[in-house]
Amino acid sequence: MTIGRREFIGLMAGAAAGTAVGFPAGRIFDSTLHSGDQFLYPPRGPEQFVLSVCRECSGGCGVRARRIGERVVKLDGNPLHPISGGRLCAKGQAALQVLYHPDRVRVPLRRAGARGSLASFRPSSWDAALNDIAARLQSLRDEQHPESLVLIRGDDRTLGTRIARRFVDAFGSPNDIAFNGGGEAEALALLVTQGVRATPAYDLRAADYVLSLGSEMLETPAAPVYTARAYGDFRQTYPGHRGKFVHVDPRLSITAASADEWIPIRPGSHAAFAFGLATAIVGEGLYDRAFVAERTIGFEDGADGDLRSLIEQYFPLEKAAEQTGVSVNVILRVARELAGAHNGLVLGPHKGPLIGGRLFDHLAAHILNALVGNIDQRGGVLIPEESPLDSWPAVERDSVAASGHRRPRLDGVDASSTIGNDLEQLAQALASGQPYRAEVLFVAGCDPIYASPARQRFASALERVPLVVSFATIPNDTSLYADWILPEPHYLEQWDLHTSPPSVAFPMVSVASPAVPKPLHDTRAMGDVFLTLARRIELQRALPWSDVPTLVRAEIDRLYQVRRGAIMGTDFDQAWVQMMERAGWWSPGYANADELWQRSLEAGGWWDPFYDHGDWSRVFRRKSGRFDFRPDVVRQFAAVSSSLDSSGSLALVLFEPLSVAGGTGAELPFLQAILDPGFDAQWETWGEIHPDTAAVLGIRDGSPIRVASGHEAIVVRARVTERIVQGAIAIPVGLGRLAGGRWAAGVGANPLRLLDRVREPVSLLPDFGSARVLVSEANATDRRAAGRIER
Amino acid sequence: MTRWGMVIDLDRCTACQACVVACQVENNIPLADRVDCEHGRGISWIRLAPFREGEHGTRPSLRLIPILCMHCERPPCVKVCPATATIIGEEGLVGQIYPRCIGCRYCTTACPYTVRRFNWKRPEWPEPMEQGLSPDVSVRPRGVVEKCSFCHHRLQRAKDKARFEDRPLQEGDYVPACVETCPAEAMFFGDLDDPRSTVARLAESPRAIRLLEELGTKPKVIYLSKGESGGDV
Amino acid sequence: MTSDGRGSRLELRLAALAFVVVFCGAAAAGLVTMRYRRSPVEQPIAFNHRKHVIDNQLPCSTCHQFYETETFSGMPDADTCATCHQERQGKSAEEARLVKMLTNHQPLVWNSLFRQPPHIFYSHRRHVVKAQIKCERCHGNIGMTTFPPRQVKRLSMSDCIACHERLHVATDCTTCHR
Repeated sequence: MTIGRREFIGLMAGAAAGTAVGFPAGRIFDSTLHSGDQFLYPPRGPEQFVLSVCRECSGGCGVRARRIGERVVKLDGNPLHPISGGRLCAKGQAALQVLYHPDRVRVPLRRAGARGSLASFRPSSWDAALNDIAARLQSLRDEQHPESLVLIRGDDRTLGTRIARRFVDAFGSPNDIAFNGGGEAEALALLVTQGVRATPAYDLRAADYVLSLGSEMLETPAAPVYTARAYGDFRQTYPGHRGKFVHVDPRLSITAASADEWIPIRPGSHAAFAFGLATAIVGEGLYDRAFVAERTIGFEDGADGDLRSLIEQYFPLEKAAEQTGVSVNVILRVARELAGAHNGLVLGPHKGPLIGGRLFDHLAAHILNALVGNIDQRGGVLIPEESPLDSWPAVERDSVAASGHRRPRLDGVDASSTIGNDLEQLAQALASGQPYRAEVLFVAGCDPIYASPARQRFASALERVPLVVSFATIPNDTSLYADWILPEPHYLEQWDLHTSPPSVAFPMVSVASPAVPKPLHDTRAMGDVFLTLARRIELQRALPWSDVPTLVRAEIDRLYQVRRGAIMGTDFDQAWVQMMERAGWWSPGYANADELWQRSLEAGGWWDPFYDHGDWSRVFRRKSGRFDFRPDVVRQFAAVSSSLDSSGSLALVLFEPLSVAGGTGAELPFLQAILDPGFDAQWETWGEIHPDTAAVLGIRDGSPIRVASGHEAIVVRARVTERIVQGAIAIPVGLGRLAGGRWAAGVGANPLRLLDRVREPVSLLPDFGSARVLVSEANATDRRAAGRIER
Repeated sequence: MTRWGMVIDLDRCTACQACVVACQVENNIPLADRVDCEHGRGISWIRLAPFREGEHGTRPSLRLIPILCMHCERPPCVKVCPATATIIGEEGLVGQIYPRCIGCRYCTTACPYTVRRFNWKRPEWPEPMEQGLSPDVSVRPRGVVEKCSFCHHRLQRAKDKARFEDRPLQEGDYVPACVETCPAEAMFFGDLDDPRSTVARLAESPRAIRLLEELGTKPKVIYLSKGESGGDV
Repeated sequence: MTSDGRGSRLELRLAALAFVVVFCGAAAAGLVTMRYRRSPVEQPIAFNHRKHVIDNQLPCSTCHQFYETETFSGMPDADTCATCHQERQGKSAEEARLVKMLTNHQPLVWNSLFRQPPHIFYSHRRHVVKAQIKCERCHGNIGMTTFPPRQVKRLSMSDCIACHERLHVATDCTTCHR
């Protein structure tokens, strides 16, 4: 072969073409191979740990924020904190992403269009907001109508809420209204039998038999991390002692999955089951005779209306079996197990913070606890002590304020009411303007438009109030109906002081310091806002603190005066302090107020771990000084006939998945993806139906179904499963929000809309458990309608 | 020699999924929206896998078991990787070298526990969420496989700290994020070869089981079965 | 070209062969040069290392404050420079610029020459304090430069592995990769 000119030219042409095409091709190939390689460098920096308290739920876990430079990169439990013990739940872990959430309120927003849409709001300034609000408040005081101020707030004890409440008190309005969807029934049962106003605490750790009557205690108790830690101990910490756990409920929940036995019962029959057990325990003489004889009244006083005779008359075993769908044998067996345990503990139904319970159910559970004699005992029901900082000196009301306080509360609640708040009544009062108009309404720490069964009426009622102000970190459904949305800092950006969360027996003070050097956005803590407003309208005498951090320090100084307790510490420290206190010594670990402050910041706060069992005068505060079985109340409930309406409708069973409980959580993708690991449910609302029921209704697993009550309908995905009893549909609460950011708004459906204004007889609490719905396969119209979220 | 392993007590575990989210936050897991999850492309390195028993007839029950990379002593994924992007280290950790991974997903198929996840899209964090990212863990690009690393970035930091303070590594210095956060204290972690460690002790419990043991992968995550009194913590 | 039969086919074949061979070579070159491309690194102030390190005998840790106690080294912030430079120390125009920036409280953001990839764990304190390695060993003699260089020394994994192997220290992948 010869390489002539042509061949040479050919070679060169080929080489040139090869280079021209090959070189860029190689470069392009390399960049596609490493597309996105090293495009994100999270900045480094010095590491620091800051202690705070989580506010994603009522649980009050002390957290430790890990900070790199100026950024918080991880949250974990504070190892020294008595509630969290270094542990943290899924929501707490995800809370970091709320701090850096893209849809946070960054500046005060003023409404410039129709209510009910975020698009109606325009950015404004704190000066404009405070001027507007202060002017309205001042005119209310000038016109001597301070009662027209309304505060609807979460049932928490953070400083912001306490300052707001004190402001309303000093201002002269009786309308300090707590919104607490779920907790009232349990506290009411305690009040009715023991005369104590508190949420009972349960010593799960030391129990050896736990009977959960629908208490989702491993998902949504009042203090989730605290309860989970106790549960771990209950099971496996004590060699040779493994507690037994039985769950009685229509639904096989995540809690039930951990139980040793799940006993399915008909929806709404928890009380019937409990009284069936009571009948068996009393009938076989298995109750704690000593406790009942010495510490209770109303059991067998000989009078016609005592518990023993009521049980015989109204709750025979066969009736309990019929009402619950559980056989007499099983009821007998469980009764024997419960009564035969050393430390048996009964928990009443608890489906989540937004789902209200029934007094009858909790009364029944509490009566059972008394029958087995575990009140105020190890492994039983404990009555929390007040934390030393729980109360402030009473407000000195001026004449304007005094006149305002003489008016009735707009929701009709007064000292004689059984219930603590009445949203339904409030909505009516706001809409009608009777007995007087509301002029200014503050909403903070709750979302009534989302979570109240009186939702619709509430929304239209709010339209009648001239000035509605919503404090929010991320706008919630109620914020959309406000005139001002004021940006609330995230808890990691604030100073705060927390006392014991509900259901924890010992007093505690946790100090939260800001984990970031400065707030991310133009936010002001609600407490600071009210302190500023107080100064503007000359109420600073009642609220004398310059700002929240000053107040926190002042409170710790006040704590120093209480001569007991200790800085939070390890298990060893706790044992030491308890031993000292039992012997009458006080060994706190601080010598003066400054040291208390310093050590509180380093450790997380203060607590008093010593619980005095059997202090009967503290735990029984009715006139008798004893536990009262309240046969009078039981009789009223027993007389109510329960109609088993089965006109083709299904019982609506509501529950809250842990990750979206309390109406928060849906704003975070990580929490939307873990709704129910049993179904691998993600990003949607579903309805659980038993296969037999589904067959009758012609419903297929996975298909969209229409669930309709008298006045509303939603569309959810059907899950045909044996995790729910027949004749019912179980739907999770927590999705179907109008607001909440890009990941929450418009996702899923809100089954609370299906509830109507039904109240439990006798207690008059809103009844979340008696709704009945019609279920059918959804057609195209239904699905299109569901795509458009209704207001 | 150190051999890192984990013990999960199923009798304490409440399936609360705190471990799932703790891992995601700790390890800069990319966000997945509704559409991603519908396609099964949401990433979590640990998951609660459901095992339903007894439908139709016997009493139904639901078991939820946390499943994560077992850091097998004989890992099938390491055997099949064509790019040597997954390797087993001297202390028993099965590591993933992201710059080497070519995204063929052979390892994902080979893993019998289905714990490997593929990055289908370029990770994005809407402003200002990128501020919450940890500098200790690489942010993976599109096209690579990732899995649980037993938070081995924490081991690197713990070793560095211990060396700096002239002392040996102690139990509790190095704990993965899931173990640290578990509210029911159901997870334990440590050196299986140290006879005094908690995990070594628990691995000998009569309740101890391993998943898919018959495949011969020799997983280093040991489960304590539910329902019996162990008395061995 | 004449239609020469075998001849013309030969030159086409040669052209094709050359194309393929050179294509592969050029592609490889293109790929490899992508690794070595480097965007120029600009600094806010034309910092003169020699003046500070040699003439004024300042140790590296004066400004890079963390390499003895942390995993990273750190860059000086405005406060560090202001320790000396809140007033004029010398006569250079660049220093005048710095003093003006400090008076106006402008942030001083330096751009790293040595960017540690995020998928690697490297501890400065381990190498500097424990292994007693001098800064120049890896970072080159930047102390001698009178203005910010564009590139002093290229660090690659093979440099690290070579030293680790020589000193019989861990070369396990998971030691550094994360």
